[in-house]
Parts: sequence; C-alpha cells; structure tokens
Amino acid sequence: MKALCWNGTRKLNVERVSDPSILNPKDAIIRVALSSVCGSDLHLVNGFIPTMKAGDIIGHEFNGEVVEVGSEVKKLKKGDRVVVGSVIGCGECYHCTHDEWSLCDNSNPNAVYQEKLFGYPTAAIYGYSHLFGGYAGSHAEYIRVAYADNGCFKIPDGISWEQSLFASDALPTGYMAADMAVKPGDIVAVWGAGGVGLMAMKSAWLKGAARVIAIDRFDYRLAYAKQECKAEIINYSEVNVLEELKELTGGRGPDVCIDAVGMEARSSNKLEYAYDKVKQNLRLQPDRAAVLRQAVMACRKGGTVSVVGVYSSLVDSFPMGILMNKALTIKSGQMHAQKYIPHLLDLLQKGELDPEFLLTHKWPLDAGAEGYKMFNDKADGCMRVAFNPSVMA
Amino acid sequence: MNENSSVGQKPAVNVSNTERILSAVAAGYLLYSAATGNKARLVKAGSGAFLLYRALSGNCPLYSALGKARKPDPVKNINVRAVVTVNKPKDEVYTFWRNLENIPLFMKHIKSVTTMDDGRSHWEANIPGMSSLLSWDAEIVKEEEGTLLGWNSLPGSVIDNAGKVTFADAGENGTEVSIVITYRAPFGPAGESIARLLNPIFKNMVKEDLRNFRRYFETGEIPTIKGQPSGREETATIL
Repeated sequence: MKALCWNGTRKLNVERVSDPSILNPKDAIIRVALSSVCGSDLHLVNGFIPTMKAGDIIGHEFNGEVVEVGSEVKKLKKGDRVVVGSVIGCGECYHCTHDEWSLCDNSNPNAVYQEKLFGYPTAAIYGYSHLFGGYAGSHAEYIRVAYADNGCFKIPDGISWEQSLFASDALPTGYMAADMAVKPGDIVAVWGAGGVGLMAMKSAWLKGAARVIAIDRFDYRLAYAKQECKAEIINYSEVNVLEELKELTGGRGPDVCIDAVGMEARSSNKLEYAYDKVKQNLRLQPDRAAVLRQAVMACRKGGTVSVVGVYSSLVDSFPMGILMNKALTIKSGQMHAQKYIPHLLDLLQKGELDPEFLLTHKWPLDAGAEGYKMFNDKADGCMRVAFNPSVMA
Repeated sequence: MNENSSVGQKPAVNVSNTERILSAVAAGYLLYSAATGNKARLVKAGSGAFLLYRALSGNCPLYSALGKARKPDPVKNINVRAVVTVNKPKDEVYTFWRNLENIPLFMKHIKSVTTMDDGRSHWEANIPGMSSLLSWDAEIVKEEEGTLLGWNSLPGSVIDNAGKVTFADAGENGTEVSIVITYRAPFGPAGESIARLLNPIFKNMVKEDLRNFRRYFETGEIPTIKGQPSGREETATIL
C-alpha cells in the first residue's frame, strides 16, 4: 500500500510498504477514507519529538471502512463506516474504566521507555513516535487499529466522511479543553485559532460560557473564530494581549484560559521568543512555553488554565509563583477520545456542531509532503488538509 | 539474604571456581560443536551438557562419587522485586496464578510450565543469549489461599531459585501483585559479580513480565507493533 513516512526532520516521503495485518485478536484493519494533518504532527515533522524512527508512518486523525476484524472483535463488522480516536485505549485497565483513556495502562508497547521519562507510562497514539507506542499512523491506504471495539465509532447515517473526520481528534481535544474547565457564565480565552482552538471555542459555548475570546496572529484564522465560533478576537501581533484581555473583562481577567498551541508557541515579546527559540534549537529546552506563561499571567485569580496544546517534556521559566499566589488550577491531558466521541457524534447528528469548515483542503496522499508544508506555513488559507488515500463514496 | 520462606536443597558444591569457569567455556565449545559439526555429535553434546551442569551447579557427580570434599559455598542470594496493580478482584488474580501453566502466557522467556500430579512442576525457559532451552523442576512450598504463593526449585536445578507472589486487595484499584524472586548466581562467587551486573537486566525482565501479566489478564492480549508496515521494510520503496 501507499503510506506517508517520516524520514527525518521536515523529510516526508510517500512510500510503497506492505499492507497491515491483524496482529492481536482485538485488532481491526481499516481502509482509510480521510486522514488529516494535525498541529501536533508539526512537532514531529519539525523534529521536536524524540524517538521518531526513519520510516515511521505518521497521521492520527482519520476515518474509514472496516475491512477485517480480529477473532475477539465483537461490535464491528466488515463494511462498517467508522471514525477512530487517535488515542489508543484498552478499555479494561483502571484508567480506561474510569474514562481516562489517554492514561491507558496497557496500550503502549514501549511503556518501559516512557515510564523512565514520565514516571508512569501513558496511552499510545497512532503515528506519534515510539515513546507513544510506535503504532503505524493513518496517512496510508490501510491502518491496523488496536482494541478496535473501543477505538472505532460507527458514523451515524447521514453523516459524511468530511463531517465526521474531526471527531477523531481535533473536536474531542477542543471539547475536552472546555469540559475540564468551563462552568456556566465563565469568560473563556483561547490561545490558538487552529483546529483544536476553534473546536474549544465552540465547545466553550456548549458548556455555558458567557463570552469567548480568541487569540492568534493570522487574520484568516481569527476570521473563522469570529464567524464560525462567535468569538471576540485579539491579534497578538497588533496589540498587548494582557492589557486587551484585562480591558475586555472589566479588569478581572478570563475565568478560563485555554492553551491550544503547545510547545512551539510564538511570543509577541520578541526577546522572549528569541530566548525560547534559541534554547529549543540548541536542545537546552525541549518546549517553548510562551502561551502557557501568558495564560497564567492573564488568568483571573482563582481561575483555571486548561492545557491541550502538546508539550513533550520540560519548559523553561514556568511562572510557578504566579500560579501559586493567584491560586490557579491547571487542567491538562491528551484527550480521552473514547469518552467524548459518542457524545460528539450525537451532537453532529443533531446539527449542534459541524466541524467540517476546518477541512479547507482535500488532497491525494501523493501530495503528503506538500500538504504538510502548506499547513506548516499557514499558506493558502489552510486550516486543515486531509488526504484521501482510498477514494470512497 | 534470602527473602523467601525457604530455598531449595542445593547439590553440594565441590568444583572450584576456576574449574567452573573452565567447564563453562569447554561446555560452550562442545555444545556449539555438537550443534554445528557433524562428527561425534552425541558424545560432544553429552559431555558438553555434563560440563555445563558442573559449571552452573558447582557440583560434579564424578567428584562426589570419588568422595571429593564439599567446599564452602559463599554465594549470596540475589533478590529481585516487582509490583503491579491489576484491575481485577483478588480471587480471580490468585486463581489465575495458581494455575502455573498460565505463566508462559505473559512471561515471554518461560516457554512452558507443566504441572505434575504430585504438585511439582517442570519449567522450560528460553534465556536470551543461550541457544538451548533451560529447564528445571519446582514445587509450591507455601500457599495461603487467595493471598500468597511460594515456590522452590528442586535439587539439581541449573538455576537455583525460589519465589513468592503475594496478592493484596487494593479497593477500587483492583489487586496489588508483588513478586520476590530469590536466586543464586550460577558460576559461584565469580558468577556472583556477573550476576550483580546482570541483575538490573533481570529486574527489568521481571518488571516487564509483571506488566505483561497485567496487560494479558486485563485485556487478553499483549500490545505489539511487531509485524506492522513501515518504510524500514526491505521491500519499501519511495514513490
């Protein structure tokens, strides 16, 4: 089959590799309909996530059709149209049975390495480095899905591939950012108007937010925030974010600050940005935390900072004193896909959510490398490019 | 120090260290030659196995027959400990472990365990770096229903070992399974330093075995990526 492989920093190639097969009784093989790029892939592509190996197939946000099931798969059958959560959960361990799927005890075959770095290992993620299990990703004609009964969700009738695609990752991640933190009546500020940030804005409304504020530097993304997500907007390259947020919130600050950017954050403070960038490139710090620092500073006293932007390990100059003295709460995590997807598909079917507007480009897999370049450069008004390795009706 | 309730009877050590190491080297040569050569394979294999036993146990049946005196055995016991919490009730976990034949389902170096009518069991292991199977007999020497299992290898085992698994109720977290394995370094005091070097590897192996126990017992399978496609395959081609 064809697959998009990572062969080094900013080096992606479409390769001919063998088809996946069932390796465990709870596996299924999915013929991929659509497979989207994700902002978190850029950390891999740009070489900031360790333990990638040349030849790894990337991609973790996808849907498709079941073509084969293992002997222990009970709920799926050949021909089912499914959307698959990017995070792999066994469904049986303490964390999965407590709806904390991204903390699964069992799904990561490389738990022993992750345990050394994190203290305790977390769930595996498709196409997301060997630290996260080394599972082959979805930018391919076929993908093996582990614990398929838990990871695959049937797409309701009348919902298209395009509509259901982002229920795999961007939508549940944004939804979780709001679900962890937002109470009715809250003012919610969201850093990053990418796929996840925009979904967090929509979800904040669903959770009862009184107002939603979007912070980004790309006007076309802020336009989506305003039009699609009814958010007030701040372009951080034009104004002082802290002053602006203070002014917009009657001098109190937002109750909830959502970081939907993560480890490759830019900063409007040129000195801070240069400091972070140089240290990250010299590998003196793995993660740039400009958004996290600003969110802690901006947040209302006693408020909550909700982190769904991805960090790999350490950040420098984290304002612990501000967090502590302002009595802030941090909520965070890779998203618990299996907890949220059924509810989100329900909302899609009722028409209360429609993330399809994120899909600005649908390209063949052969254009994988160009797709990532366009997405990385924020060129051509790109929100998300999805590849269609197998063209399906 | 031995942490387990008892250790097995050891065959008397009557082979000196130097001799044990020499025996091991000679055994390795003979076994290799028996496996790959085509002359006198049976003789080589037989004498190789005999020397290997001498090296590992420090006991030479020939010396015993000739009345060679027992040497003091200064080898210390080495303990390896690991613990895991499994999301299942204690009784289920205990019952699964009590059937020793289940053990190869999650311990990847144990090839088989066969229980016999008298309560004894026969173990076969694939030890990394060794071409032949290692086997020994063991018996359960202590049992508290639902709480504890203790075993001992029987005299003549190439790896003299004893172990204990305890099961403790952890409320809504399930059951805590703790294991202590006590073993005596093969190759005597000289081997002891080697064993100390290898101990972290052995410890990691036991920890991974317990992790695999949880994976297997909770989900019925052990996660893997072996055999999945990648651009590292020999036949992979960039299009």
